[in-house]
Amino acid sequence: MMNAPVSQPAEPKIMKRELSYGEFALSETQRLTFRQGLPGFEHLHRFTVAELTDFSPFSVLLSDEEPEISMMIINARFLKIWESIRIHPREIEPLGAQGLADIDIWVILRTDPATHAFTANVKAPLVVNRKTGQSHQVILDNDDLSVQYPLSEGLI
Amino acid sequence: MLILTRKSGESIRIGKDVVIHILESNSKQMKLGISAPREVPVYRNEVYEKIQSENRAAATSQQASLKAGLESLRAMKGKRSDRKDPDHG
Repeated sequence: MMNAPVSQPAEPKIMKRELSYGEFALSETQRLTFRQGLPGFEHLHRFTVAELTDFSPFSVLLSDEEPEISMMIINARFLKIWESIRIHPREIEPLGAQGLADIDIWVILRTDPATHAFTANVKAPLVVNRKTGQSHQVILDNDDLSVQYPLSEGLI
Repeated sequence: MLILTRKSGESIRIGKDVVIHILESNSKQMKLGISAPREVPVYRNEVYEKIQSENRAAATSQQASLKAGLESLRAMKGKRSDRKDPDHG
């Protein structure tokens, strides 16, 4: 008797959309929801994370509601200061996550317009529930963390 | 803006869930205690405004500057890899 074919679990569908970010090629990775928006953009709640295909591991956070609003980001684990970025359970629970294994931590990047040097805001990282995309930006108490952590020396 | 005068030991309620307690006060500063649900973040306002300013600057970083910065980081990473493998090249 022939065995019935074993069905493979379906691959998760990734909805690819046309994303534009100047000359950069993008690969969409995740959709995020910020219930409280972001400081400075409190009215924006839905964002897409897309990896810069040619500049991994850098990604961009694109507003779904106002396409002209976007910020470059990087997963905090790529920073030397990573272990100092301590997220308290009270910052995780409102996202419906159980612990650190359920979240990703991203930091927002900016450049100095004169030198083009990148800095990362490690004082106020983005905390993301990996499964649901529920997210918020938290402001950490640690005074040793800077809003402009230089990437030139800080990348792993 | 609503303006209230309170003394040490008194408090202010905002909505049904947030209470600000005046713990101590003198001519130079005031110690406040804030009772709020976990999902309501509480920040020193100047810190929050700083993060607003940083986010807005990040959102207006020019594409050309971002690309130049990325190329520079990539070049730096390349040099560091070369230094780690002195036998190559």
